[in-house]
Amino acid sequence: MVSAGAARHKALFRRAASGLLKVFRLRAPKGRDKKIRLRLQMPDLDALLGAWLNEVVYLVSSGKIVPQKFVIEEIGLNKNGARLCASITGFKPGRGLKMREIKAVALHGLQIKKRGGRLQVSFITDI
Amino acid sequence: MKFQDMGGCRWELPREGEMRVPGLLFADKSMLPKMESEKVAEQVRNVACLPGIARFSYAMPDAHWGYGFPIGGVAAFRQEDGIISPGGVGYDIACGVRLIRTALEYAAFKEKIPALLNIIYSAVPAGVGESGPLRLDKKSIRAVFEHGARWAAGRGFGSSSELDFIEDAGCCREADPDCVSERAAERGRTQLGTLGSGNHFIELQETEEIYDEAAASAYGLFKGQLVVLIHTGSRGCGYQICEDYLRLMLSASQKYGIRLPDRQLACAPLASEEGRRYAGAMFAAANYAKANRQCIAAAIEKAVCAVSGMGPAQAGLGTVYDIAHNMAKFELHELDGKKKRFCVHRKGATRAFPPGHEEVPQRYRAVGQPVLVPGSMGSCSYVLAGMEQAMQLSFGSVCHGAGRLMSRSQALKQVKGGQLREELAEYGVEVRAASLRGLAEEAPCAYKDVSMVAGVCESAGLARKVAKMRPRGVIKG
Repeated sequence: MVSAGAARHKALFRRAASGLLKVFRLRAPKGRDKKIRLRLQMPDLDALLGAWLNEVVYLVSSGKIVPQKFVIEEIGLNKNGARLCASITGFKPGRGLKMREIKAVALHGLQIKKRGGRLQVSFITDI
Repeated sequence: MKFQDMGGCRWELPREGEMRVPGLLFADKSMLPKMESEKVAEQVRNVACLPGIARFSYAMPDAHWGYGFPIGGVAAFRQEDGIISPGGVGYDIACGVRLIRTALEYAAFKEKIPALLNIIYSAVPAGVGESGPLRLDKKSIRAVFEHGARWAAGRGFGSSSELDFIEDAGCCREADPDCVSERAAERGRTQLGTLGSGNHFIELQETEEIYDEAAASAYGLFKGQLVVLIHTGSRGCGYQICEDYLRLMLSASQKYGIRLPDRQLACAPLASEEGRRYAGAMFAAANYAKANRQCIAAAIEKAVCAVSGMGPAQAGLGTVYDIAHNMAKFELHELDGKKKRFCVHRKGATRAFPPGHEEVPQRYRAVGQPVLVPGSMGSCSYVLAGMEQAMQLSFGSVCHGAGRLMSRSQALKQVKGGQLREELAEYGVEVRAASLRGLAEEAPCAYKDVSMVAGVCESAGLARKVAKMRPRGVIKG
């Protein structure tokens, strides 16, 4: 179970991704620098957070990038639900990448809650 | 929560609220408090709220908390008004087990177990991020999705004569590679023939006890025999397909007005385009899993020949059975006196067809389909046989293993991997593990008593015990 909290959605999404990264226990030889930009659209913010985290799972698991910095450029609601623009900077892993296998971030119980003026979320990684 | 004792290890959860059918738990009375505290009963009730569900929402005796559906959950949905849900199958689509028999006696082969483990451990990549011996191009991965174990056998991984002893004869014909995303295909290209991590394993086992001589004889099992059990699934491509379609199903659930008690139960009508596409992709992942186990089995058989100095025929190598325990399948079942088509979701549950069923291989048709039930590496595993009653009681379904008793983090707090390896060695179990931490997470104390689970299945009339095997060598990812 990974938990994250923040005052605003942008910071919450960033911290949740950083928390997820710790679960991977990555040991990655450094390759060339890399930046990946993402755009996501989902029915609501909870689903958007799930999709964002699972993008990170995919990118790390498939060796596309070892993230060092998450930047949430834009997040918000529109007539189709919730959308996100973000960038991930880091490096392409070299040979000998080691990590824990994470199948996915489960949607079960993934709900952004507001407590005492702060946004909080807990999520489960399927290992 | 009130359970009504229906007798025969069956406990009903009466309909209430938005439940469309009652729940039915197969359990010993002593298992109920744990199932309740772990919210298995609550999850059974949530599944019972989904459209088109028939008879009951079920939990097998190894059931434990899962995401959305409980692990050990079974639900059959009517073709005409039912749904299909990626969460009812799980992330590791078609994760399953294959049992390989040999003609070798464990006692005579005992000294060679470490050498055999070493060869298998180097031939079958285990652990995270490990890629396999194959690099599949786009055309080949498509062929794997389409033809499953048949593709592997056609390329020299094992024998085509063994395909009859794989569920669906090694290939789900409903697979549609066009429904698999580029991402999922990409993740599958380098992982064929790999074990993975988590609870996946290869075990060298000794057949310790035979309960049903006729069935054991049909399956080619005898007391004292060396057998090999493989547990793995569709690897990264299966996880990706599940994730791809869960996203799609969240929108589809809204579109079709399906109220979800839990997001992980996101689903679409079987008749919808979204439902049809998920089914096509899921069957493609199932074919990948079958091909994966076929490749691993071929590597194991080669290792047995190398260590024993015998050829495959002399070593008596053959597949007892290969079956998935995370799947949704279209099956004909009788309801209200009529045969109807259902989509039976089994998440951490095994299909168990009875004697005489046309899906059971001809060689086993008189005794019923083999059901492979792995226990923990410190206990034992069982081979069961499907029984007629299961068709009425559980849409021909039974348990899939011991079921977890504690989470991985709980297990890590109690067990040290190095110490566990030594303890298992004292108990007569040699271990090769990619990670000691991973080994500790899978400690025997983290699992329920598999003998009790198998006993409940037998008492409930779902399946009968055929053989019990004791692990002697374990490879963990």
